Amino acid sequence: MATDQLWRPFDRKHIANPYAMYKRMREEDPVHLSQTGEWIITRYEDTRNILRSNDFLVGNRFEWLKKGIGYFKYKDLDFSSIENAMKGFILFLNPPHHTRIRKFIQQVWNTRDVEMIVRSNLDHLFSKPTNSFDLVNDLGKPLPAMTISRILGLPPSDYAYLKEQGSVLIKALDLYISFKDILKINEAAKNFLVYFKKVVTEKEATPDEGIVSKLVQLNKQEGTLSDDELVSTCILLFIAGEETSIGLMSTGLYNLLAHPQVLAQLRNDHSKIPTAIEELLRYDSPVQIVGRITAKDVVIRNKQIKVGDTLTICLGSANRDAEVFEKPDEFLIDRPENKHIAFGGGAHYCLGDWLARIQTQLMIETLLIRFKKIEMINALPEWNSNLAIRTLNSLVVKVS
Amino acid sequence: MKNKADVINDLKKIIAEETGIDLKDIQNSDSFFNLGLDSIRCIFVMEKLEGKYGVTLNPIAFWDYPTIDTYADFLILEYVSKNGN
Repeated sequence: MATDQLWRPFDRKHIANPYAMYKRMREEDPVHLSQTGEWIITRYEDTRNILRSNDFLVGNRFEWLKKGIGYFKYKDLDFSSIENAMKGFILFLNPPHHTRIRKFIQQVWNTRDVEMIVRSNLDHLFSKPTNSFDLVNDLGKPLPAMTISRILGLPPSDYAYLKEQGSVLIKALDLYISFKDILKINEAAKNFLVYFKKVVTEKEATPDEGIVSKLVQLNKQEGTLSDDELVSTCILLFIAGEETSIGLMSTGLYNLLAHPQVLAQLRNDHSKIPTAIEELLRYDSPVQIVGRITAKDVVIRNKQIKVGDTLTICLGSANRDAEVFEKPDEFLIDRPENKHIAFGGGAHYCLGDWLARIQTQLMIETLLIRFKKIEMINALPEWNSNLAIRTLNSLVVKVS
Repeated sequence: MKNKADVINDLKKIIAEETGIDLKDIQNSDSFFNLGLDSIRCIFVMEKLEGKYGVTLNPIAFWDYPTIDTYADFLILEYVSKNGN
């Protein structure tokens, strides 16, 4: 039994290739009131304006989670760890809390040695000779977790555990989740709270050069964050670049392998890798969807949007809009002006864009230097069914 | 697989338990939202249905098939596509 809905995000076809549905939505109804009652925004211009406007707030997802936690409490189910783990997440916060916490993080959120850290992680991951491996599970997944662990000053041996917790907790951001998801998300939230409470206490006693220590020290001086917010901020710094980087690296490598002539160009000239990464971000955006809630009645393309209405903003669709990008469905690494909005925009513009870019660049460089030939074993990759963040489950390659 | 009338009956029972609405007051043509089921309560109903029928359901189906009658058809189809007739 098929439905005649325009918005059909769970269709198997959509998971493998969301762009056909997005194209239809951009053309037929770019501000679409979906069956679930939220507005689906698919055009570049609308997306860009909404992200930059003060008429739209963030936090709808968190409000929904809190409502759910309250509801399940009546059934004697305690999911309060989810709220505690996420209460300091700046992506859910509006001014003045957003401004306060974001400014606080920005004071310490930079690492001069990031290139060295990423290179040593890549050396570690490629320490054994190989002729076949999984670009997702052996490279795209561990690399961001190893890197952020080093940046935060966490013991290297913890990254695998934290990576597992992170990939569960991030599911809370997805559009539609099940009861079983909530149970797992709560477990991961609980584990993160225990872990980072302990780390914060340790860094108070014995500070080091990591960012958690810097946050702890700065907070001692300024007292900007409550203890809970500090722990929650650490959790966010760990998970924010996890699944998103896995998305960029896994879909990115897939798209490069699917366009061998581009890969050959990059092999001949490594200086083209940065612009290729910008095109990867546009062509198959890792963060496909972000949410907003309307702060006052507004009209977009003649649609009356009421205060309190929720918007599902499809970044992945905006980046394929033919009004802005010539031949939007083609993967062209030398676009003269690539104004993609893969990292969002406005006050909530991604804080980790530099980290995602440098990791992906060094990863591509390393692969090209180490291997003369890289080939996919299966032509059709297996996509995860998350809607908000687009990632591959596995991508096995033969190398020589 | 049970017939459609039985599936409808299961659905109504679960909804009656969840909402406190009297079983006999729930009609086949009622929508979940008119019965007071929002996106959070639907998650709970979905969990019970998944347990009862041994299937994995898609959360958005409550909106795609928003009445008891249409949802029962969807549920039967999901069951059959997993288990055969």
